[in-house]
Amino acid sequence: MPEEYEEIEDFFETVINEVSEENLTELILDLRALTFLNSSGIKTICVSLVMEADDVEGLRMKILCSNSFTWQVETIPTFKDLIDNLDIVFE
Amino acid sequence: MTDDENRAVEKLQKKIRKLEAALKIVADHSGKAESRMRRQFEVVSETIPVPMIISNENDEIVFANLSAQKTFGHTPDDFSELSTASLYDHPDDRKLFLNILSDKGEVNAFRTELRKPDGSVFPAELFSQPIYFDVQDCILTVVHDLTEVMALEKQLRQTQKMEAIGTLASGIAHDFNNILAAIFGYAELVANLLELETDKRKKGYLDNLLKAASRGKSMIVQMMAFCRQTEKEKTPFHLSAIVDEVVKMMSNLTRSDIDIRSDIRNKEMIVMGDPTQIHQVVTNLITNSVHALSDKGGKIEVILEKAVMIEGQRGEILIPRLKPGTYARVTVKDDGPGIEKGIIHSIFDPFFTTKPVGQGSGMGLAMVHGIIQGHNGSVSVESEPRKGAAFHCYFPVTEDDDRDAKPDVEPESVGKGDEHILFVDDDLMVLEVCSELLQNMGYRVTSCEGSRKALKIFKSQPKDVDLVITDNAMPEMSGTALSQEIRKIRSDIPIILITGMLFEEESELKKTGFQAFIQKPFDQRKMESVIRDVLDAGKEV
Ligand SMILES: Nc1ncnc2c1ncn2[C@@H]1O[C@H](COP(=O)(O)OP(=O)(O)OP(=O)(O)O)[C@@H](O)[C@H]1O
Ligand SMILES: [Mg+2]
Repeated sequence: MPEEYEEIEDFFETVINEVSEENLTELILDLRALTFLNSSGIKTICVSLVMEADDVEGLRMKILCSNSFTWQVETIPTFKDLIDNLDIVFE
Repeated sequence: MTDDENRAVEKLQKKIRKLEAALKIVADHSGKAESRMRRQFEVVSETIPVPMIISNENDEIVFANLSAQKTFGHTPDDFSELSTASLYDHPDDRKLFLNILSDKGEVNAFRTELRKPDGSVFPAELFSQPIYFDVQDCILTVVHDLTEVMALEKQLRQTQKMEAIGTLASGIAHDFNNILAAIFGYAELVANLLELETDKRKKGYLDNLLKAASRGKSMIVQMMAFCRQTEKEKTPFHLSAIVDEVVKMMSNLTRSDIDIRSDIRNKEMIVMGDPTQIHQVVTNLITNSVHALSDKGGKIEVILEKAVMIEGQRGEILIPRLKPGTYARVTVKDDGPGIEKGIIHSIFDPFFTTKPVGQGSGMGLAMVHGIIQGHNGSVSVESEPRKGAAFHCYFPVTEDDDRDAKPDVEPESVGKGDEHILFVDDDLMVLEVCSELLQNMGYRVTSCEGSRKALKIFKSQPKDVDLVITDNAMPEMSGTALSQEIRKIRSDIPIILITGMLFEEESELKKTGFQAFIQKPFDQRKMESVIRDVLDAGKEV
């Protein structure tokens, strides 16, 4: 249900606003403890965070992932199609 | 277009491309997650050994797992053409089931009977929940097959019943033994008084009396076989020889319109056990068939063959259940009236009979069951009204060859003696007749009706007693306990135990510390020889 993610969308918006205002150069998303994420969640991360981060001049994004969760191994690398400056770190 | 406009368009186009990419990422992600979940469902449903069926609102079966396919004997294609109602033995049960499901939102342990394509019916419990499956509202039903559980319950009930009867019977056997001991004893005493030449008629009467008492004795032995208190030594023997012998004997004894035949398909199989008892089993079964055929005549077939029991084999319900392995199977089959469904579960019960009062004891099949169980085997029955009856007896086969059978030699009358015997038994009748018998053999006898008193007597004159003979089951102190007390006073005194139980194992005898046993009811010669042996053995040392 998309409504469930409204709060997170708002949170991501705040993050992006702050990052641009403060001229920060790095944004880290830590997913290592996230065992499962449904497709609405993926959409929220893609559209409200990753795509927006791509629009912020001079910002590098870093996603920390865990090898133990199949969905992360399969899906996170495809985020590269959405943003030029992305580091994906698996552990 | 102005530069600004161009830039804006470019920005929008880039945004659209990224949104398309995001859409693809999300679609890939959910596609993979979906197929993973589907796979998980498949693995779970194919692995659990429990039938699982999913049906839609039109009662069509849309999914049946591997276990359901095995249990019902249908392929997935068969299932797709079936309605769930057709799996029920009583279609009304399906309606009731659906009512409960719509009332309660789920079904928990719904008891019913389900039907297989071959027409056979099995008891089951159903568990059910609504589920959304393949884009429609469905019902998931899990089937708990109760066949095994019920067979085990039945076996337990049967075992408990047999135990209760066993306790009762062994009590009766004990008292009967004492009565018979008195009858034997007095009859022998009278026989001793008779002059061989002049009292021929009286001797004849006495012989008949002893014969009747012997029949009583063998009944007690049978009863004890049923209670499984006999641990007769087991010998290996060829089952085919027994089957042959019984069939020959029974054919000779049976009228000619009943045809008894043996069909021995395996001559070599060797079984460990008591051939006499197996003889009894086959005789009992044939006797029942002969009785069943007594109205119209007919055919009785006795088949001996090898049967291999595999793990989890179902079908006939065996009591008790058998471990997988190779068995010798004796089948006694007749084309008589068969057995009604209503009574087939009771026929192995002790005292169950359909014969008129006074004609049958109803112990025939109970004995068969007891003996076969004592041989680690199992027995089952297959019968339908008007279609005859077949009893299958399973015995574990061994590889051993026939050992030389020890013939049970009648003891010869041996020397008598004049030693002093202390005789202890709480049953006055037994006490009286035995002292009399012993005195007739020449012994000096002190008889004593209680173990405490016996101990007192022994204490006062330990050197004066040459042999103690004692009953075992006594209220004050058992024979075993008494013998221990006596040995504390004089360790070398020989003691003989009188018992109603059958201790035949040499090793068991050694353990108890008695020199010998006398089986109740006893005959004079046996008693004479046992006593002499024990006394003589004492002197050799
Ligand atoms: N071959 C058979 N055909 C039909 N009914 C049978 C057959 N064998 C046993 N029965 C049924 O099982 C009952 C119990 O048999 P069981 O041998 O235990 O006792 P019984 O034959 O009635 O008495 P008894 O053996 O003491 O003479 C019988 O009374 C009969 O109803
Ligand atoms: Mg019978």
